Amino acid sequence: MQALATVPVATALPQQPVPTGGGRQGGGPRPGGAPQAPGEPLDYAVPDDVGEPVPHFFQAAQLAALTRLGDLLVPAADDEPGAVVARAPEFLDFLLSRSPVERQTLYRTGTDALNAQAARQFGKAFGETSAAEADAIVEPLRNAWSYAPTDPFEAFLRTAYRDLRQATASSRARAVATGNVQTVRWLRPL
Amino acid sequence: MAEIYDVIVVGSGAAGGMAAHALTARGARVLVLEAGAPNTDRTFEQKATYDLPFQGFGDPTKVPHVFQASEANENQWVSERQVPYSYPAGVPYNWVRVRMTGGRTNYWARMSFRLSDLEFKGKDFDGFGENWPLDHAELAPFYERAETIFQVAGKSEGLSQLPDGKFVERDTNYGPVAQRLVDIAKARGIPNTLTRSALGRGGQASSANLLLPDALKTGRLTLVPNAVAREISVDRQTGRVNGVHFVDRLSGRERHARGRFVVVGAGCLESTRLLLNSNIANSSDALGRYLHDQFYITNTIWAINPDVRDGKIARNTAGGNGYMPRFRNLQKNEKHDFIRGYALQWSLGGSPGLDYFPGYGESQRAAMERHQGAGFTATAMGDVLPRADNRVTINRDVVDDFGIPTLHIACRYTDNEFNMAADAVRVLEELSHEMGFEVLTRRPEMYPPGYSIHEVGTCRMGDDPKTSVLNRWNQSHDIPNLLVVDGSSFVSAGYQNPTMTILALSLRASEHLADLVDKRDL
Ligand SMILES: Cc1cc2nc3c(=O)[nH]c(=O)nc-3n(C[C@H](O)[C@H](O)[C@H](O)COP(=O)(O)OP(=O)(O)OC[C@H]3O[C@@H](n4cnc5c(N)ncnc54)[C@H](O)[C@@H]3O)c2cc1C
Repeated sequence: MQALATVPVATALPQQPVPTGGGRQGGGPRPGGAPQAPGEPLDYAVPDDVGEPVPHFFQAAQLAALTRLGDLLVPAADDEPGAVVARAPEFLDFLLSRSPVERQTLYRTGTDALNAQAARQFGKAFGETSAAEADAIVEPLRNAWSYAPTDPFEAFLRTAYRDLRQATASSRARAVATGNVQTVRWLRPL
Repeated sequence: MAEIYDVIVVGSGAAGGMAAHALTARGARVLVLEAGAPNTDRTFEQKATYDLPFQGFGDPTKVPHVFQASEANENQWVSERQVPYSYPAGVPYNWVRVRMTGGRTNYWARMSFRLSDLEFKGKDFDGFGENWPLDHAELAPFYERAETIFQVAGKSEGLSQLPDGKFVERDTNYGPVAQRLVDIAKARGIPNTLTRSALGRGGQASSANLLLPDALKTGRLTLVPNAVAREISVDRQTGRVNGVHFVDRLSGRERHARGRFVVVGAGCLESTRLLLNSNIANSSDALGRYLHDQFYITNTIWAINPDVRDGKIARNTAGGNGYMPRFRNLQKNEKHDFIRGYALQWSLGGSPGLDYFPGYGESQRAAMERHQGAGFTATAMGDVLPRADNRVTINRDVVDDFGIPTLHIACRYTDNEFNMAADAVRVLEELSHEMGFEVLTRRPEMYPPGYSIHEVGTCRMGDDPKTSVLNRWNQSHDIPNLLVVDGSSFVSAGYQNPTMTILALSLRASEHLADLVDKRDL
């Protein structure tokens, strides 16, 4: 080490790429010198504006029921988009696709129950129900609050109502329409 | 060749930070191995919620058991993907962990209480479990010094079930409604005080600003972040511990550090996991057992003050908050369907959220708005009994990202806790009725164990090496140059938040250890 330090750097270092170790010794282009300066800022669009959400979790009939539920519970008001315009049901489809199985089951059986009840009472899918018909089906929401409803359908309704509200309030569509952007102080990964 | 340290401390939270503080002050050369990043690495970014990957809901696979987490702060908790743990099917445990220099003291709510002899000598009182091998008088001088460092604000009350500390004195200033509640409670034998809270310095009350800087200033502390302790090494000849194997959190490389003493303060369950993985200090079979905490029930009740709702009194005169320390089983002859007791932290003047009102749509929204500022609510914080069957074991089939076997946590509450919770609801209902409030909701159901973030007991101290892991100085009965100084050493938790007791114990144990280092004892 001592001897090397006294030799001028230019002659001490071979004029060829130094192996980096760890098996990454293949040829190919290497990054040269300093990184390029960022160029002129470009205008970018966001995925929301250019593509429709593609559901992966719900079956079509289930998503249609959840969408109807969103329209009923979180309707549009003045120029505030409701759950449907905010694409809250589609967002929940994405969230649920990554969620623990208990949550998935709650939503699957819940949306199925919406359709089953609509079929039994009104001979149609929940998505096709009128406001009065849908209102009759979500009757359990009028029960007094409890921390853990014992009826799974009530538990589903309460969870879905809360999730639809939150997904609507935090949506980009809501922010764009109202000019009111919900922000958070986000902690970067450590 | 790396130095042989006098003491290796594992963890830099309340327990490890205080050990480093006390030991370096007394001249020991200390190495702190901290699994988390430097706390200065915490950087924040203002973001639109819709720009977060999960629109504010949080990644459902990262910290599903941390009910305190949101997507904004989810990176502050230990990821359950990175360091998983398991529990029996249907019996969840909420293990709430932070890995960062300063540990969970970077985030704690700073409620700062002492235990009383009702806890230290609980067995004498009701026959359950074990007494601590020390009492309040013995720990008091150490509480006092911890309170001075952490600048605990509170009101001296002279209550036997909640000893006063060395406080930055505060006075109560109840509004008229709050005063009436305090009076009504008093007539029922329920005392009130202000919550006791660590002010710290510069708006921060963490190990990282109150303990570690002074320790570093001595020049005797070496603090290494991103160092995940994997196993404590043992000298086969002497049976004593002689160092710690640790893994670099960022590169995954392992090293071994050597020390004359090892002080473990990685938080109750991580400390226990480290000892279990090291296969040491368990001749008693108590290691990993007696896991307990406090059960917490937020919004145990929501009641409505109709005077506020109907506009008879102004919202700003109707507010207030306070803390009712344990008032059950203070006398031996009380008849309840549970032993020990709970505290109620209450607030007046809050607003119950939309979900508490039935229905949906305009009528529901209007109901919520009418009740703005009219709410009375409380969090019940109850004593959980230490039971041998509530225990953690090592799951060798699942290792974490660092190759370290993970914990299996089996812990359930029992009728003593459930009955206590029902009593809390009853008391709050009675108080509400006497106040002329209308009860809107009641909640006796508790969150899963662990939720209070006050887990203790899995490495308990005691005079008998057959039934306890540590002696009265937090030293292992089996291996005297090994100490564990965090909440795992508790014999019983009481209803009080544990951190002041952790700090006092760590200080006391560390100064005792410093005496041994001085004397070159062992
Ligand atoms: C949101 C929140 C609110 C709270 N509110 C209160 C309150 O009001 N009052 C109260 O008394 N308590 C409160 N607590 C609890 C309090 O924070 C803890 O009791 C206290 O921090 C425990 O100290 P500790 O040193 O034992 O553990 P920690 O503070 O968790 O520190 C342990 C340290 O060890 C490190 N570590 C873990 N494993 C390893 C390993 N293998 N190798 C190396 N290092 C390791 C961790 O990274 C961590 O830094 C709260 C906690 C939280 C999160």
